Amino acid sequence: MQSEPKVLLEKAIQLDPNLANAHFKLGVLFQFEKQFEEALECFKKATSIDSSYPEAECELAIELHRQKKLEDSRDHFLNALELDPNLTKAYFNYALLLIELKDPEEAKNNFEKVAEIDQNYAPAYFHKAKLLTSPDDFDEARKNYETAIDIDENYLEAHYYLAKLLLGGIATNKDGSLLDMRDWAVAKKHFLKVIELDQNYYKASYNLGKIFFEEKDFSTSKSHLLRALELSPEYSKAHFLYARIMEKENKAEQAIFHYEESIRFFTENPEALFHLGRLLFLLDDYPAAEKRIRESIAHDSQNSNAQYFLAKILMFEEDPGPAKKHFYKALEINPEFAQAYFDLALHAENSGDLNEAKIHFQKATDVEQNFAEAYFNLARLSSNPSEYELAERNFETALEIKDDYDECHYYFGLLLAKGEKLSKDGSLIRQPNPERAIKHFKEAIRINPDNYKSHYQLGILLANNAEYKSAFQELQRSIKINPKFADGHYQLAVLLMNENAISVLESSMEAKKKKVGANSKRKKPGKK
Amino acid sequence: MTASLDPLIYLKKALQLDSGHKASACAFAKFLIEQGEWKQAVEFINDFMMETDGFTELYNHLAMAYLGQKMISEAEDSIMKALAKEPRSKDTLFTAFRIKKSKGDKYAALYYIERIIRYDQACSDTFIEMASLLNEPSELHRRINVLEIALALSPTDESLFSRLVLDYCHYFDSTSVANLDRDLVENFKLMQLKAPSFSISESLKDKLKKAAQKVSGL
Repeated sequence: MQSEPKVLLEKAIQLDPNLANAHFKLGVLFQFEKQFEEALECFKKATSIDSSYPEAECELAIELHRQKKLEDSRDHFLNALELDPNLTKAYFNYALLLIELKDPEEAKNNFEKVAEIDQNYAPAYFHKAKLLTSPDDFDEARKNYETAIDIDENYLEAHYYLAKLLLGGIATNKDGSLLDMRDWAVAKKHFLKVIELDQNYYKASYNLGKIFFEEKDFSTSKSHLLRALELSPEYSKAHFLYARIMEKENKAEQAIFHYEESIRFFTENPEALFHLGRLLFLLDDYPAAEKRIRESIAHDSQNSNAQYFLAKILMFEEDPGPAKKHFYKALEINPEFAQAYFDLALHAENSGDLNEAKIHFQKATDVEQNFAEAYFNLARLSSNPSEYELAERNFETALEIKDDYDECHYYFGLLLAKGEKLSKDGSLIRQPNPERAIKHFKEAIRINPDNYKSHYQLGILLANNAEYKSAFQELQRSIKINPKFADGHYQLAVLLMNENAISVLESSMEAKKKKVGANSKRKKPGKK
Repeated sequence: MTASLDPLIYLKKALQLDSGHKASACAFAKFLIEQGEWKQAVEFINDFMMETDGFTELYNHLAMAYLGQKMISEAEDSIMKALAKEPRSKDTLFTAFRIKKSKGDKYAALYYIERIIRYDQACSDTFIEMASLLNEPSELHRRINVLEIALALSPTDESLFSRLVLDYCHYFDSTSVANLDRDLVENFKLMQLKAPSFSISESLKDKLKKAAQKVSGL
């Protein structure tokens, strides 16, 4: 059954087909009932009967816009505004048309015009704010969103986009430098308001999850992400972030599942592909990791981390070339990538190119001045007597940065014990410093009592110092920690072939036996 | 539990853990040689070298073990392999010297001892070994010179001093005053000054006195 006003309007038109107002109102009713074709015809009729009917011109323009007849729509908006320069609805909808016609500046002007005429027209502030996407306009965008919310506190989209603006927080200073204007506390408040207004607004749940993830509150983040996934199971971004949390919680299987879901629902997803590849690499599944990382690079070749991990995977290949190529690519994208320099150096060392390895370790220390491992490895490779001082300096620097670095203490001890350097005239000299070497071996053992190599080297130095008992103990410890350490067994034999050592050790054992005997005798009365 | 002080236990363990552990193989071979277990040493080294390439030190030990068993030809063969790898190794040259000496090839032995001296002039034992080869009457003069060097390197060695005194006495006994070598006489006079710092036998003291009388007028 047709509604009563519509019947009456149709009757009126039947009686007088030139009643422009009746055509207009009938069009509005059709609009209301989403019968847009019929509405368009009514507005056309109204404007053809009365060429000075701004409201009809405006509605006709709106319907033409709906039908994507953009230029015709523009003409009718302009007609409407010419007839009534204060017609808010025409300005507002014309602005929306201009956005589609890719003229955001003119659109902004029209939104401003709306606000001038009707200061409580919230959508005008909201849509203007949406156009202010440049970091230079951060404050103005925020102000417009806030005004829209002030006018209509239940303006869901304004809450959502304001929260998004504050989540990113990219702004610029007067001099053009970037400013961090993130305000996650306020952003959270607005996302929560969105959820309060519409519990099914999954994007708000996702963004809340994202903020809590960044704040490392993984438990809260997880609950929001699960809500987002419940509302939208195919939401790729939510799967990705949830996978990141699973990875952080060492739930590799679940992480892999959600990365794969993220990729399934958005195939050109370099970030998810990269993170999945990286996780598979950490799980030692190199072929699968390589496949995923290569796919990630195919979508985004400028991800230095993806290039780096691909290089790490290719390090296991016999040919060192491909890994090297990707390390270089990573460094080309990010010249400050200290870890890439470091791993490239290790790769060069494994390929037998020690000079290249040294260059890259050096570069790693240039980029990251507190990179203890890079200083240590640079020192370790500086084994030529001509590089003695360089090695000494780098070992010292590594230990200044990281004094509990047992491996560094061990290698520094080796350098000092050997003491091979070049004199000023270039001849080879041996100036071992056993006292300093002993200090470093002892320090390595203090940090890591299971460092059997340090026990071993300490044993050798103590034997050289005729401290046979301590030497014997250290060598014994080295083979106790690592019973398969052939060198340790050998050095014990060497020590025990030394007549002086054996006499000291024998008398020490004799004394020990006597002491044990005396103690057991003393205990006897007690037993009674 | 008390740790063992038997080096062999550790050496065997090292070799058990790493059948190619060269240093342990050398130490074990050396130990057997020092114990006079020549045959066992030869067997051990040959077994070891079946799995690992031979190297100077082990070839040297093999040569010593063969020498201990008087298997000169095998010893020569092994020491040549060692010398081919490291022609300047003092230990290897010394074993080569001992093999030649044992074989009675005095001139070859002297050749090796001279090579050792070329690389190391500070070891009195080398000069003492050299002196022991110079046993012909015609070589007495040269032997005294060699012993003089040995004594200069080990100035407190009493047996060396006694040996040198005997050689000087023998020289003065067997050589007419007219034919005495001026340098030797001067050296002898200097040596006499050192005599009070050594506790030598009475008979040697007498001989020294006689010799001193002979050269006193010169």
